[in-house]
Amino acid sequence: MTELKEKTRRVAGSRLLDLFLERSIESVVDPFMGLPTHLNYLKRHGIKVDGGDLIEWFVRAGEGLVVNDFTILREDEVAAIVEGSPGCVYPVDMFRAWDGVFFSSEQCQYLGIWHANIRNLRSDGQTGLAIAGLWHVLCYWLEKARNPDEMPDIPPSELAWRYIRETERLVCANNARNTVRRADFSLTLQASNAQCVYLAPPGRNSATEVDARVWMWEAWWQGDPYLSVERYFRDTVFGKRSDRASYDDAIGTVLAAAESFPYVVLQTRPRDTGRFERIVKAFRPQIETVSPSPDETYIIARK
Amino acid sequence: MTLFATIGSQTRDAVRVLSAVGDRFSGRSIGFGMRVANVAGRFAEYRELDPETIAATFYAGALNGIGAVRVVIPYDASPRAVEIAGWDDPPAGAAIAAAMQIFPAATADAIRWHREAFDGTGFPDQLRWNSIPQTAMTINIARAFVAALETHGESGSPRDALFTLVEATGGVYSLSCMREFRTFVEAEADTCLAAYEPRQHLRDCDPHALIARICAEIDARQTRTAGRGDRLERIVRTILDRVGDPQYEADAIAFAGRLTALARTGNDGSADDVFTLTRLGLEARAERAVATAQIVSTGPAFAPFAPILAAVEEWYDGSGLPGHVAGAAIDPAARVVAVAVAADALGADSLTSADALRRIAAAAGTRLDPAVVDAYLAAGTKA
Repeated sequence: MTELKEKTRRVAGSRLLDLFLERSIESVVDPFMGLPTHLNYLKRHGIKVDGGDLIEWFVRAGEGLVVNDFTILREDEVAAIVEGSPGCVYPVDMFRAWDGVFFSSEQCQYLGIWHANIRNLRSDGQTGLAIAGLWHVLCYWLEKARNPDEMPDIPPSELAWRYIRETERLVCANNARNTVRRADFSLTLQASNAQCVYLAPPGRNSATEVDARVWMWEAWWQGDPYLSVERYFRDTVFGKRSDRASYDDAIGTVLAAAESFPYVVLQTRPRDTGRFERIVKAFRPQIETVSPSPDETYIIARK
Repeated sequence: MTLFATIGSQTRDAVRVLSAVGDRFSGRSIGFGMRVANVAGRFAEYRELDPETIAATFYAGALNGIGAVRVVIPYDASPRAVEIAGWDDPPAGAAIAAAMQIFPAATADAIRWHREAFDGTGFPDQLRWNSIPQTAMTINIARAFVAALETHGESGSPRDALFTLVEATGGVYSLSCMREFRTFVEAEADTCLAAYEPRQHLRDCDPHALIARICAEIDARQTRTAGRGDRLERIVRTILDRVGDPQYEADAIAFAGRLTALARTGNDGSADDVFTLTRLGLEARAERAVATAQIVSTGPAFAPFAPILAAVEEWYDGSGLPGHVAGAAIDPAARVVAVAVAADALGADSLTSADALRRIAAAAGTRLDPAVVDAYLAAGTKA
């Protein structure tokens, strides 16, 4: 059975909003956005947001949650995603490699059906919402596989329906042109004129220890059950980060690229705070460390 | 009247009142928040958490609905907009709790994230898995448990309510936390709902200031009523200066005036007390008066204010609600507060509105106590 990470980094939009409002920050760019629910929260509260990531499904989901202002999925469109249409030929063998390893045959068939159905949607916004919704289904299945007796058995199509409907509630407008892009941090930063860069940098070993739920969903989106997301990082600044010095250099490179932005907010853990403070101070002398809870520390640097 | 004489530094009673305010604004029955707090506190103790975390869980449970006070829903909002506006309740509640500066440090964040779901479909932040603090998850479970018990009614048992929750395990509730909660309910089915007091004390504060602050928050929901508490206090003192009767305790009645805000759930744009001198909307206003009395009754130290607040919509001629009480039988403090509330609602505070003063004078003997009206008008004339 695949291991699911116990500890998940807390990235909370409401906390960021508090920090931003105290400093009159009205726009933010996050070059390592991950699944951008925090950007969705900020957007809902009137902050202009830009995001970037190397993992494509994050970006696709971002098109639904962050860029998309008004497109929702109608009932018939959700139905057309979650169930196979009669008469259609579906690639039901596409994820056979996972059959009996992570999922049942029926689940693997549904993954193939959804992979095909989701490409027939009208817009990127709809596709993004559907990806984010179906991702919850994958997570549910993995948890259920670990704890078969404690979670209720819900038919795949019903579960998918429920989760797609959940993500659709996140559609909102903030009258700004928000963007997400699949790009390295430097491209994302170059393309943005935000007031603030929010950094929750990838962990030192995150390429090799990436959560199964993230790489499996990227593999599903790409239609390649053998995909490894490690290759995405190979040619980036974080490629050589097996030792701490290389990793610190990589963070320094990101901070150098963020030089023109008035604010940098770097989220870290209490045990790494001192080290990150030293790195940030080398680029921006005015720093302030805010630790609203034992699990969250923000280093806020002004230009 | 010796209203304040019975009130000591009883911050916990103030928290009970605040909890009831949260219940009222979040559409729950009065006492729901404290029931959640009892279950959450007992569960936290069962898990052998440290005293500060237990206290944080308890107080966050008590104040789980308080954020609704700060969330003003647009007058013409669609059902979806109302639902989405509700997503801001938890962070607003966290901000309110943090501003009070009396609770353990983890309390505000436990309120902030108590509606997050294990699978990432909760709100406000869509946190998922173990990034949701255990205190917040505990409150979410306790909240759903108490809600399920209320749904089952008197016939339901804790085990029945638990059965409802188990269906959402792995979806809304974390597996490990639910596992422990099931054991807790099985082990303490008879006592899990009993009243609980955390061992850790709250930081010292003035309980009246806490309540006055929440009253000001409620008044600020409507542009028309922002700053109403201060205005009412001014009017009450104006009247009492004129009456000069030692039976009135000015500080207490002024405070009672502020307390009339506690159940005012109206959003900005609603005009629920413009017709305060007429019978239009009397039932709704009387319901609010009774609810206000019910809210203050939850904190024993504030309970002496309940009869005053319940009688604010009684009419001097006996045709008011809820009790059709007439004349001198109406609580004297309630008669003063009623004039102050009417004067403020009509915009007569500045004593520049001749029409408002005329209407108040006309209501003497029917809606309002003539002696109190005379005192108010005389004070205005003198000014």
